[in-house]
Amino acid sequence: MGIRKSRAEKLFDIGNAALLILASVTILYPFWQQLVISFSQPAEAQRIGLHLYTAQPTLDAYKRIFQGNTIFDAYYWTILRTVLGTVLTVLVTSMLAYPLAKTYLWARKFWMWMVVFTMFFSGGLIPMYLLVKNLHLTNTIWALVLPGVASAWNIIILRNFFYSIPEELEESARMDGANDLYVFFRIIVPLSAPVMATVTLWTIVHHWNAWFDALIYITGNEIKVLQILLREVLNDASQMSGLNPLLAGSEADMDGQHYTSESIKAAILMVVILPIVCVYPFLQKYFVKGIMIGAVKG
Amino acid sequence: MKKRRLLSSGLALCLTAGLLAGCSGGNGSSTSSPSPTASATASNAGGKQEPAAEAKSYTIKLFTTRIQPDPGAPILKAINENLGHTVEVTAIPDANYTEKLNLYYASNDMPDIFQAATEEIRKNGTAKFTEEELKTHMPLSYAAGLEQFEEYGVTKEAAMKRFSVDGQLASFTMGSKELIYPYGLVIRQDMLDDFGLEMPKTLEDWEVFLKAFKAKYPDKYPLTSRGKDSIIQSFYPFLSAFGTTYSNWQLKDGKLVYGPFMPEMRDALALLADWYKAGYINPEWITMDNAAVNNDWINGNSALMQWVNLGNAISAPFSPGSIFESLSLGNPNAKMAWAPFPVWKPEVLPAVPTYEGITNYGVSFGKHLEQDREKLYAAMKVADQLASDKDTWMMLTYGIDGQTYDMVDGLPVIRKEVNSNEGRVKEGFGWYFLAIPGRNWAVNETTKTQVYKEQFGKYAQNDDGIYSRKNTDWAFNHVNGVLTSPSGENLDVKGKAKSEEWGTVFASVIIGNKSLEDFDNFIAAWKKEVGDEMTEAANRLYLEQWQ
Repeated sequence: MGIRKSRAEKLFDIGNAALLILASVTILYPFWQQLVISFSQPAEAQRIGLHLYTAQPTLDAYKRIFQGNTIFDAYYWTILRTVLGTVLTVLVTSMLAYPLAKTYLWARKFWMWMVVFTMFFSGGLIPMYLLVKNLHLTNTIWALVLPGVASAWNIIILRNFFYSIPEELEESARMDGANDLYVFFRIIVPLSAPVMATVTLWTIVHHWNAWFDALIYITGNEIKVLQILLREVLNDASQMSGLNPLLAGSEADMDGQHYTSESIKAAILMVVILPIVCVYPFLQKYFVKGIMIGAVKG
Repeated sequence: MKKRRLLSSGLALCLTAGLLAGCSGGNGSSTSSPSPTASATASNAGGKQEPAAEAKSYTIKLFTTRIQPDPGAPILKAINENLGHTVEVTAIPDANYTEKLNLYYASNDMPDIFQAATEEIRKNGTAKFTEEELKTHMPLSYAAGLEQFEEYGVTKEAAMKRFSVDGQLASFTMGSKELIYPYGLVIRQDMLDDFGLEMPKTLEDWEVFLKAFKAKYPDKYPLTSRGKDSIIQSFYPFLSAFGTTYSNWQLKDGKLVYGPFMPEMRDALALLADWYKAGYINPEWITMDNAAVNNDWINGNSALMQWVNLGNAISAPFSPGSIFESLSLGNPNAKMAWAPFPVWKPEVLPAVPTYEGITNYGVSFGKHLEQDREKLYAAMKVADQLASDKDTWMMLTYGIDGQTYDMVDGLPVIRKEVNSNEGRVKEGFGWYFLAIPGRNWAVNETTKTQVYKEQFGKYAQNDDGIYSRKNTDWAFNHVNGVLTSPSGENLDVKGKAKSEEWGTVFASVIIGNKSLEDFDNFIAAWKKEVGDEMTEAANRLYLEQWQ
């Protein structure tokens, strides 16, 4: 027999639900608005106000973005850097965090201090650029992948999680003849799935959104990541008048398609966030658990 | 256990060695060119080295914006063949140009051809050369520049002084003749006819027109502006009537004064505030950008379009795809006309913002080229040809006839399929922004439309034209560099917060959120904090070049 709720409790539930619905709408509506604008005609895209739907949907903005093969190349490089960067980051970070979690590591505090120090002080943009350039990494994918491989923050999160794994598990494995690498890859890593997934997700998002390093280290068109390409497309749309002085103040496209920088901006947003939105649900269940475990323990 | 200790000690040693290696200085220079030094002696700066008898082919690194051509692009290849050198182009979005150039400067890896974006780079990051070298190795641009300087009202000596650092040339530009002329105002002539009014000339005439507009279209607003993305252009025709500008340093009675500090600015704001209250100004102007303003015009919601390039056709046949064509398509009865800038008092010429003919910044060459003057001369020749050799300039700007453009009525028209950034990247043209020493008018003029030449000539070049120098006060910004106090403090940095606050105050006074007394107090505070210092610095540093 269910517990009957009092009037106050029911009112509270209604208020609670209303607030949560309001919060959800507040969070979801901007996304919906951009989606609608991306499919809107020029005049409607420019209109200030709510965009709940579009009376005359058009794919012109998407057609503009997907003209040619360039965007597919950009997707390729972005996916490559994301995959390479994530794999290397997780591998290097975990292999650095694991020994730091061992109390018997010689000069452990010193190594930890060196890692933490980098969170407070950084050489800055110019030394980083000089380092990457002197290592002959500019104009290669490695300039986008290697500099961010060992992040102090991720190391600390993982180290704290590794603390929480009972040492008895390792000892019993060693008694059975397991070496350090076996223990790490076959015991520690599987147990660390939540925090690994967290670090993986952070790294994926970072690499997917990163554009500044590509701007600085890549000077040619051979390696063009999605964010750089989309930035150029956006500049193209808003600088159409700059390309042809006769069109100063004009919005129309020379080839007759109807698009404006507003609908292109919105279409770009959709193109960029859609893959991440698709990946996120698969890793979400680990996310909260992993971040809390990594943060609390140790 | 002992093995593990040995292994971990070895790894620790490797890590330490790596850290220490990173601490040591390396020259990091590439082997392909001499290592540039930050404080190279200037002993060769005034030298007159003769170029090698046989022209050597160099790889010239050029730094530009927007268009990054594919290295194998056909037109880039054709341009390189024409030049006899290989131009390696690196392009970056406008907003990041300065940042990347600073990185190049800091890492001693300057491009060969670029436009210096900061005073520091102009002084210490550029190769210095003499006027004789300029004349010898950039003859076409030099000759064109001398002609064009006259039109800007700048003597050769004054121009060379602007390009110089410590008496030596650090940059050069011909400027851009088109930019010194004002942009125009376009008014709805059909509305004037409908209201039985003549073309407004004075502010009073304008008020009559605006009142009539509001009476007929109570839900529309005849005036609007790009408050969101270009507040400096906001209502400038009406500011200009009072002889002032939003943020230019103007020459008044032999002194440089800042537009906002002029007493007339108060009068201008009072007028605009009254007009806002009367409903003549779109209340959403502060949130409107270029696209929104254009949209208002196209939909017939406004009566005035400002900042219009004189190349625009405002009657049929229209420039294809222009906002004037769009207006006409939606409203076949719409008629447009070029309007003069309004006048406040007969003795006050409208202060129309235009761009400086030439500034301190033009095309520059990397400091490292002082060590290799042959290559410097090659880079100079490349810059000269890109801007002033007709064939090269046409390839750079339009591509190849029959491939990327066609001649239509004697004018080049870029083909639709390549008329985008992507098309230009693939084909390899259009990468000239900030990479050439200005615009050679004799070369550029041949590609201007008849409409442009007619309107430009009639309204701007002709002394009787409504936008001519005779009938308007061309309000150049007479300060074209950093303002520093006598002690060396950067006043632009010091005054940045107040400059940004000025936009808020400007808008607030117009919409009625702040009073004119608030404006007075703000200006007084601004002047006290940094404005008086700025005025003193402007006059100390820049007045001389205008005298």
